[in-house]
Amino acid sequence: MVNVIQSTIRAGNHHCTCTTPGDHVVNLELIPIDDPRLHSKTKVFNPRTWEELNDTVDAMFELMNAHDGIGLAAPQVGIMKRLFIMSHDTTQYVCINPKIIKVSKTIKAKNEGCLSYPGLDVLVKRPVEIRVSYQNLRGTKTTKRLHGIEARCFLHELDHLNGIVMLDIGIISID
Amino acid sequence: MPDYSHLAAPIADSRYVLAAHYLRDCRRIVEIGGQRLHTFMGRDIYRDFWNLDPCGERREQNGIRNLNVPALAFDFNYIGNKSVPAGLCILGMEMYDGGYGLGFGIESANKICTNLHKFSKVIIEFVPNNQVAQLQARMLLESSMDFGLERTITLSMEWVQDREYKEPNDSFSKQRELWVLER
Repeated sequence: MVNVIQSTIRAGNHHCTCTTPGDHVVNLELIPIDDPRLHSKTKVFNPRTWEELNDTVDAMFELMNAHDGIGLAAPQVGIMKRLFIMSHDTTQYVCINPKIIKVSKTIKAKNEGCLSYPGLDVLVKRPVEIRVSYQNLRGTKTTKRLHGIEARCFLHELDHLNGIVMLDIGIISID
Repeated sequence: MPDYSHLAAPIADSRYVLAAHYLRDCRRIVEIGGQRLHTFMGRDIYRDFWNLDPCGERREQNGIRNLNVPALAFDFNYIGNKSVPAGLCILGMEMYDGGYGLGFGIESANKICTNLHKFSKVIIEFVPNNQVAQLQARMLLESSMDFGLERTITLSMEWVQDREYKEPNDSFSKQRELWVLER
């Protein structure tokens, strides 16, 4: 039996519905800007079975792609667990219980956007290279070296898991 | 009739995104003009919300009261005591227009200033090059309350003019400055 994942997206006045094949129905939507969960620290994720995450992660990718995003953290859809997804070029990342092992001394300031704050560009200083560890969708611990936009995206999403949003740490410019 | 068309552009929504972010902890919110802030805020989060816009439609829904009255006619005692954090949002209008035609009058502006002590956060937007309006408002805001200027955010709406106005409207600057004041 094939059911449907429905991800309802709300950002300001924008609504849309995504459908993909899957095993369970997972409804996700971006929580509003003023929701306190966007500013709360998440808890370590210990799923009973890692398979149960598949549908949630699929729905998160649907939602992210519908908004042309490159990253989405679980708190942005109201899930208060240490989980985020990223996508760059053809590589997709599912990062569970992510940690930073090492950061480069070189820092760069670049504009970032965020699906939770549509239309805003915020200049944020971040290390250009990081060494990180996380569990993948099977629960296997992975260590990776990321640089450039991948490192920036990883740090941005990791901030979400700690209740920090780009507006808290960056310089806002709208033009 | 003042030209508000630049405020209908997508870039103008960014100001509401910012206002919703900075007013997120306020359980009582007064928005002057606009009637749009609540659309950027969660409906499940309990708060009292008043929108004061004499040009708008009067209606009440889900705790949001759109009152078609000027600020002058609003009873700011609804805001209550300081134990409940309250926020004031004034976007797209000048408190003192300095000849730009977008101010809401000296009496309303004065009434707002005398009631600012009831709010813990104020989001207000200026035209930076309208020095008279900015100086007057800055002096009043600083003298009438113990707020600190948390952030100043410069907003550029020039592209709105470039892309959407065939004839640039020189009477109104598309450069805006948004202040976040916090007690």
